[in-house]
Amino acid sequence: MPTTDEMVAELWDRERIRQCLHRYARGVDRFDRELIKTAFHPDAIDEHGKFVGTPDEFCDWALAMHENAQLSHQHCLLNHWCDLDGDTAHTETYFMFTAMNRRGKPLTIGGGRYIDRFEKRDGDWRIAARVTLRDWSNLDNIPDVDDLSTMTSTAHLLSDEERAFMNAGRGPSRDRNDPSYERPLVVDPSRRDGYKELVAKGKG
Amino acid sequence: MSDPRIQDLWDRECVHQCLLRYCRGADRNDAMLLRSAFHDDCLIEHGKFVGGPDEFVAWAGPLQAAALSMQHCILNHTAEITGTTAHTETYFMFARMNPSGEPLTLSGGRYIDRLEFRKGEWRIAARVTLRDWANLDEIPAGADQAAMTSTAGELSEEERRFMRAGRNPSRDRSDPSYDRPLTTDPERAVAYRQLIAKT
Repeated sequence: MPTTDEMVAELWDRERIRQCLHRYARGVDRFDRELIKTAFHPDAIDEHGKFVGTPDEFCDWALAMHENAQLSHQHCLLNHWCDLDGDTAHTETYFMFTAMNRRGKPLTIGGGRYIDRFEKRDGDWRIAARVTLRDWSNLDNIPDVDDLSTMTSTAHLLSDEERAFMNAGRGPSRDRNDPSYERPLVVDPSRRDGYKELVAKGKG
Repeated sequence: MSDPRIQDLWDRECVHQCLLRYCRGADRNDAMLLRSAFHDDCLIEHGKFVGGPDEFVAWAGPLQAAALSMQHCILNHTAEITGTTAHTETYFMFARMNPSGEPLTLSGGRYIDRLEFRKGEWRIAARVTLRDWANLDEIPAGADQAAMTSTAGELSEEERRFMRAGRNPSRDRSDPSYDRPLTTDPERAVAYRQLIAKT
C-alpha cells in the first residue's frame, strides 16, 4: 500500500500527463503552434504516418495539411492507458479524428492511437517520442491492411513513393508487435532521414 | 490540505463533475440536474438560444423529449484554474436517434465555459457552445453554426442570421476558448427574446 504522499505524487503525475495530451489536441485544433510545442520536449520525434520529425517540423506539416484539407476538425481523446515508471511514462491514448472537409465527402471520421514515451524533465512531463497509429476510418472501400496509407484521410493524394515510405514505418498490430508494447518506445532515426529525403524531393 | 496539489486535483475533479452533470441531466431529461450545472446569473449562448439557465432548461426540455434517445459525450477537457475561477474547453460528441428523417444525428463541438466557485460549489457562470462538425450531406460554408446544428432543417432565415451573428469557432486566437474572462453578450439575450416573440 503506497503512502498518502506517494498516492498524491502518482495522481499528480498522471494528471499532468493527461493534461499534456489534451494540450496537444487543443493546440492542433486551434492552430496554436506555441501550445502544440508545450506538449513535446524539443528533441522529441513524432512518427506520424508519412511525416517523421521534430515538434517544429510537425507544426509546419500538420497545420498546413489541416488548413489545406479541412474547414474544421477535432482530435478527440478517448481511452488513456499510462504505464508510469519514475520519471518515464509509456502511454497509449485512443483518438477519434473528425473533420469537415473542403472537398469530397463532407465528413471524415477516423480513429487511432498515440503511442508515447513521456519524460519528466525539470518537473515538466512532456512527450519525448511518439508513434501515431491509425486503426479505422469511414472509408468507402475495405482497406488493405498491409497498406497503411489506405487508412489516412489523404490517401488519394499520396504518390507511390510516399506510400512506400509509410508502409516501411510502424503500423498497428493485434499482438505484442504493436508499438504500444515497446519499452522504451523509440523512433528509428533512419525514418527521420528517410522523411527528409522525401521532403527534399518535394514529396513531403 | 498542506499539499497544494490536492486542492488542484480536487478542484479539477469538481469542475469536470459539473460538466458531466450537465450531460447526464440533458440525456436523462432531468431538468433539476441540468439546472444544477449553472449559477443563477449564468448567460448561455448555445447556437440560436441565448439566455439564462431557467430559460435554457425550458428550451432544451422539449428538444430532449422529442429525441428517441441521445448522448452528449464529453471528450477532451482542459481547465485553467485561478483561485475561484476556471476557464474550460470541453469537447463533446452529440449522438441522437431521431423520431423522423435521418435515423442518426452525429455531431461535435465544444463547450467553452467560465466556472466559478461560490458557496462551496463549482458551477458554470458563462457558456458559449460551439459546433465544429456534423454528419452533413453537403460541405457547409466555413464553420457555419446554422448548418451544423441538429435542427438545421427547421431554422427560419431569421434564426440562421441570428446564429451566424453569434460567436463562431476559429482556428486562431479569436476562438472564444481564448477569452479571459469569458463573457456572454446580454444584448444577444435581448435579441433572442425578440426573435422568439416573433415566432
